[in-house]
Amino acid sequence: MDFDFNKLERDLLSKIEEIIKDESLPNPDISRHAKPNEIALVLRAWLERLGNSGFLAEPAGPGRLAAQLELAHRSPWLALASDIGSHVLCDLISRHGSDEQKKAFLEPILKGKKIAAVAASETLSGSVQKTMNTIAVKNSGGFLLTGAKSTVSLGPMADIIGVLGQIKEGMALFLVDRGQPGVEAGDPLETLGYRELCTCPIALHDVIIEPERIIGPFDSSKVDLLQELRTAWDQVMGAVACGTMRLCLDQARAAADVKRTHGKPPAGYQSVRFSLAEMLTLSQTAEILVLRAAWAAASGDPQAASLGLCAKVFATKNACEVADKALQIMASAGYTKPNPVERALRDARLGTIMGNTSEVAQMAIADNVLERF
Amino acid sequence: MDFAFTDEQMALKKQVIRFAGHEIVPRCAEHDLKSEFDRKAFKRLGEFGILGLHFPEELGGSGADVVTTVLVGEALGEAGVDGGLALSYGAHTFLCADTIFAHGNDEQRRRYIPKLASGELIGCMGLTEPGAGSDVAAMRTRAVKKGDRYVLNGSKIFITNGPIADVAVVYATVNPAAKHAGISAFIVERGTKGFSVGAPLHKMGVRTSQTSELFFDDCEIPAENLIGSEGEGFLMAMQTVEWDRSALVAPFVGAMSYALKKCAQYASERRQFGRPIAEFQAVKEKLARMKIFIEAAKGLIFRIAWCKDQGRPLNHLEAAVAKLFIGDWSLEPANAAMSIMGGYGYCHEYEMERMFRDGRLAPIGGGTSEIQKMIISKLM
Ligand SMILES: Cc1cc2nc3c(=O)[nH]c(=O)nc-3n(C[C@H](O)[C@H](O)[C@H](O)COP(=O)(O)OP(=O)(O)OC[C@H]3O[C@@H](n4cnc5c(N)ncnc54)[C@H](O)[C@@H]3O)c2cc1C
Repeated sequence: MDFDFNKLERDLLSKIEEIIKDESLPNPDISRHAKPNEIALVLRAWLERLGNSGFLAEPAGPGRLAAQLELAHRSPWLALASDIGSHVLCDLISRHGSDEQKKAFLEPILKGKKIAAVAASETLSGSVQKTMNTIAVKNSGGFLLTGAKSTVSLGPMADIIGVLGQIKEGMALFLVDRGQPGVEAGDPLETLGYRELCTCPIALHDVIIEPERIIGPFDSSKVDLLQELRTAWDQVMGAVACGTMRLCLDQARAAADVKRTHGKPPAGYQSVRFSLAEMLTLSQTAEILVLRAAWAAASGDPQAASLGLCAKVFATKNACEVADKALQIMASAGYTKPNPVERALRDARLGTIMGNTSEVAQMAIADNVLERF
Repeated sequence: MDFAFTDEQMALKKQVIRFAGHEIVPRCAEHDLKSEFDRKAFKRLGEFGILGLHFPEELGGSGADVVTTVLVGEALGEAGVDGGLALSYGAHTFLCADTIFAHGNDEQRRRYIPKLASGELIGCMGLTEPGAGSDVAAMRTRAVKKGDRYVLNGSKIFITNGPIADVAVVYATVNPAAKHAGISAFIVERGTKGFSVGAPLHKMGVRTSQTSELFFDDCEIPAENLIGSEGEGFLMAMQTVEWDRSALVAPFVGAMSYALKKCAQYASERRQFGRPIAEFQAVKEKLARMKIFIEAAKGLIFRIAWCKDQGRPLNHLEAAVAKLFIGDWSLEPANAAMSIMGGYGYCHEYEMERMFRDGRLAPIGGGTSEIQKMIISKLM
C-alpha cells in the first residue's frame, strides 16, 4: 500500500503543473461566443504542448489521472477535450488495432498534432444500445459507411473521428477523416454546458473506408466496443469532475473571504464555513476514490470494473453538488456570467450523463453486488 | 500509488471474519436486546489477539501495523459484530491502552498493557464531561497534587466501558486557568477510594457497550499514575484522534458491508409482484448507493492508517474529512438498507434495525460532525 505518488507519478504531475503555468499558451477560458475555429486554435496550441511533453502518451493509472485532474482544475473543458483523443479513442486503438494501425493513428493524436473525436451515439439509441444503425457495406476497395451520429463532441474541429458502426459480422471502429467526402458535421448543438466542445451531429453518406481504417468487426459476446468506450469515458469524467470540484472550491474560498463594507465576509458565518467544509470533504473523498479506481484498472484488480463505476457515480454527482454550493456562496456574483463557477455548474451536469449514466452505472454496481452474494 | 493489501493482510481479514462470524455474531442479538456487555466475546477477542494486535510482542501484542489493525476493525464489522462490542474494543484498546502505551513510562506499560491486550483487564477513557463535550477546554474535573499523590474531583459522562472497566485513563486539569495546557492524563484503577461509576445509560444503539458516568470524590491516586507530564493531556487526547478516525470508525464501514451483503441476499430471496425485489431498479439503486459509500469511506480510513504507519504527524484536516464523511454520509445508505428490508428491517430479529441504531453514533461519538466541519473550515 502506498498513498503517495511515486517518482514517475510526481514527475508527471510537475510536468502538467509547468504546462498549466506556461504563459505562452492561449488562455483556455475562452469566451462563450467563440466560434469552433477560434476554439480549435486554442485547443491545438494546448494539445501540441501536452503532446510534445509526452503527457498525452502517458499510460493510464493514478499518475496520469492525477495529472488530468490537475489540468481539469485549470480548465475542465480542456482536460475533457484532450482526453477524448488521447484516452478514449486511443485506448480502443491500442487495445484492438493492428501494429500498422497503431503506428499510423496513435502517434498524431498522442503527439497532439491531430484533434480526435469519437462518434458513437445515435438518435433514440439510448444507454442500452447494443448495435448501430451506422452501417458499412462492402464495395470494391473497402467499405462504404452510412449513418447519422447525434452528438459528437469536437465534431466541427476534429481531424480524425472514430466512428462506431456495424458490419455484417459485428461492430467495428472506423477511423474517418473529417475532410473525407460524405462526412458532414452539422452546426454545434446548443448545450447546457461544455459549449467549447461544440458538440454536433455528424452525417455519414457512403464514406469510403479503406480496410486499414477499420478496427474489428468484433463478436459482441467477446468484445463490447460500446462498453469499453463507456468505461473510458467514465474514467475521463471522474477525473474531470474532481478537477471541477477543486476549481469550485478555490473560487468559493476566495469569494468567502471578500470583505464587505457592512458586516463580516461570508466566511465569518458558520453556515458558509460548514458548506466549504462539506465541499472539501466531497472533493477529497472523490479524489481518493477516483485514484483508487484508476489504480485498480491499471493493475488488473478483479474489482476494477465495479470500483470504476462507483468512482464515476460518486465524483460526477458530487461535482454538481460542489459547484452548486460554490455558486450559493458566491450568490449573485456566482449567478452572473461569465464566471468559472456558473460555467462549472453547467459543465458538471454532463458528468452524470456521459459514459455510463449514473442510473446505468448504479444498476451495474448492484448487479455486481448481487452476483457476489 | 498502490492501494493493495498484502496477501497476509487479506488472509488475516478472512480469518477474523470467519472467527467472529462463528464465535461472536451469533451472540450479538441477545446481548443487544438485553443491553448487556458480552464479556465472553470480549475475552475471545483478547485470546484471538485482536485486543492487543498493534502492541509489541513483549507486551502481549502481535506488533501489527496500523493498516492491518484497521483492516481487522473493518473485518469485525463486516462479519456482523455489533457496534457495541466494536466500540468497547475501540475504547479499550485505542483510547485507554494505547494512551498508556504511547505516553506512559515502562513501568506503566509493563503493568497494564499485557493484561489489557489479553482482555484480563478492561479499560476505559474519560474525557467528556457534562459541561465539556465538544468544548474539551471547558473541563472541570480537577487534579490537585498533594505530596506524592493527586486528588481528583469531578465527573465524566458518556464513558464507554465505564461500568465494567478495571483501568481508566482520566483527563483532569491541574490548572483550569491554563485551559488546554492544564489538562493532564491519569491512570485510575477500579476500587480506588473516591472513584465510583454510575449506572449504565440506556442508549439508542451500541447497547452492548456499557456507558456511564465516572465520579471522582476526593479520589486519591499515587503521583506515579500521571501519564507523561502535567499539561500534556490535551495532546494525548488529540493523538487518539488518529485511531478514532481510522480503527474506531472502521467497524462502521465494515458494518455497511455486512448490511450490503444481508440486503443483497434478502433482495434476491424476497419476492413481490411475481419476482425478486432485487429486480426492481429502486432496490438496486439502494444497493449501489451502499456500495459506493463503502468504497469511498475505505480510501479515507486507510489513508489515515497508512500515514500513521509512515510515522507522519496526523493530518488533522484529512482526519476530520474521514470522520465527517463516515458520520454524515453513512446515514443515507443506512436508511436505504432499512428500506430494502421493508417491515423486517424494522424488527429486531433482522439485524438491520440494530445496525441502523448502532450507526447513528458515527456522527456524534469522538467529535460530532459539526466539530469536524469546524476543524476542516479552520484548516482548509
Ligand atoms: C455511546 C457513546 C460513547 C461515548 N464514549 C465516550 C468515551 O469513552 N469517552 C469519552 O470521553 N467520551 C465519550 N463519548 C462522548 C462523546 O465524545 C461526546 O458525546 C461528543 O464529543 C459530543 O459532546 P456532547 O455530547 O457533550 O455534545 P455537545 O458538545 O453539547 O454538542 C451538542 C450539539 O451542538 C453542536 N455544537 C457544539 N459546539 C458547536 C459549534 N461550535 N458549532 C456548531 N455546532 C456545535 C454539536 O455538534 C451537537 O450537534 C461517548 C458518547 C456516546 C454517545
